[in-house]
Amino acid sequence: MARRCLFWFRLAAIVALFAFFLGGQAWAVIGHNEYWPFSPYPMYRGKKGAKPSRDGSGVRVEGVTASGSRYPMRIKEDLFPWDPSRLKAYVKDLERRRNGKKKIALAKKELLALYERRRLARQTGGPAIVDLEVSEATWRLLPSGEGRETPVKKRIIVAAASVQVAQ
Amino acid sequence: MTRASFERALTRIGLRPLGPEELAIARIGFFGWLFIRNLPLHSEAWLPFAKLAFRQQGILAVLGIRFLDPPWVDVVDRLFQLSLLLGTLGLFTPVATLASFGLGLYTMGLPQGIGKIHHAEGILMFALVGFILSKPSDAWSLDAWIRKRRAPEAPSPVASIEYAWPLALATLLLVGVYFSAGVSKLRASGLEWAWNEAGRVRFLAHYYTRDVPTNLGLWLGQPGIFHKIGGTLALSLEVLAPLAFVHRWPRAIIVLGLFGLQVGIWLTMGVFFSNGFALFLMCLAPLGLRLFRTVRRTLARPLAEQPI
Repeated sequence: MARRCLFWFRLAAIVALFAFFLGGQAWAVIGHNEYWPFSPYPMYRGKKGAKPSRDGSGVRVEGVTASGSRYPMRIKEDLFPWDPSRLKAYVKDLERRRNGKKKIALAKKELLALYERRRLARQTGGPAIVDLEVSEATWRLLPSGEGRETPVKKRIIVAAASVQVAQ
Repeated sequence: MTRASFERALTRIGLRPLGPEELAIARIGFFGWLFIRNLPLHSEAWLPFAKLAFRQQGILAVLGIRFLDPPWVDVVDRLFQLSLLLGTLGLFTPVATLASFGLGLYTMGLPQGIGKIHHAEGILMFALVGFILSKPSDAWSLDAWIRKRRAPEAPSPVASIEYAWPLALATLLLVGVYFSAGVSKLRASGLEWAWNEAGRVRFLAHYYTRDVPTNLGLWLGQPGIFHKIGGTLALSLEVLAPLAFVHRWPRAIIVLGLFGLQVGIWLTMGVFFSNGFALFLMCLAPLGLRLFRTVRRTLARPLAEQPI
């Protein structure tokens, strides 16, 4: 008897779950509402008639070693659990906030500490660094793929101290 | 209505009873993948950044779930890993699945409030509830082995609709996600999304701004027809995803196609679905088991019985 009741209870719960997911998704898609875990999944949806940009931008983090040389970080490995798109969105979020510059400077310190923790634990193979610089780099998108290593524009979001001294 | 007549009615609409092994292999794939992906601890790393900027998202805000302070933040990570491992092995499975759901809301949900939402994790919560509401440890689990040792005469579990509904839910989740993405594209860009220049440039943008594992994105970023073919295939798969509920053959094609699409996105754009692959494993592992059994049956049949 108890087993039979359990079957019908589970069935009712799973039907309710199906309905909850379908209803939530329909609400998210129709109203374009982002309400975790429901989402209209708008990634890469574009805009009708919009001309594609000739440029692409991304966040760039460079470590500065004691000798002053630069180490371009691989965000996913060197700064795990960050990834480029989340870091870019996070930095933009900080910039928009009150005391944004101060918060970005604090975030930089935390990124530096995170990198050093990972390096000392041998979770990444990068060099020892004393500072880092976060910038938004812009590339000219060429079908040949040329210029990948050298962005055409770099907007420094938070500079490395050594760079500030040099300037 | 009796259970048997109910199961017959469901069979008529395409939801067939499955054996406990099919759900078991889905459980191993799902929990195993999540366990491996969540081996590196990450919640503590988020903590200082969350203190600077954090937006509680959706249902987590309603539940009031927030980052804990050390050392509890690490404890929760470890408990989540343990629950995923137990789920993979099928030990204390009802507790492990319930704990995976609760702890998963915390460890996979909270980072969505930092910077941006990554869409792969949300649907996994539903899949976990699907496991809670089923009997995923009736086969290929330590629980089943212990039960058999204690009561060797107990009858073996037989095929049941209860083993099928978490898998039907997983298919619905995949279909729901990709169909929603397809509708979003059609609403924003129309059919031209499939072959407009923005699609081509998107491949180039990822090639320049991300660590991509191959140069395929650069190849697709060339002017010509290949990015249009890619775009048309991707949009078609997304919009036609609900066909997965028509019959098991379109279901296999759609799920395999969406899996291929996701692998393609990783290879060309460097965007890895990470935790979300658990849902593909959940859907594909039973298909693989069925294929393996069919091949084994065919090979085991005496030559004389095989059709010429």
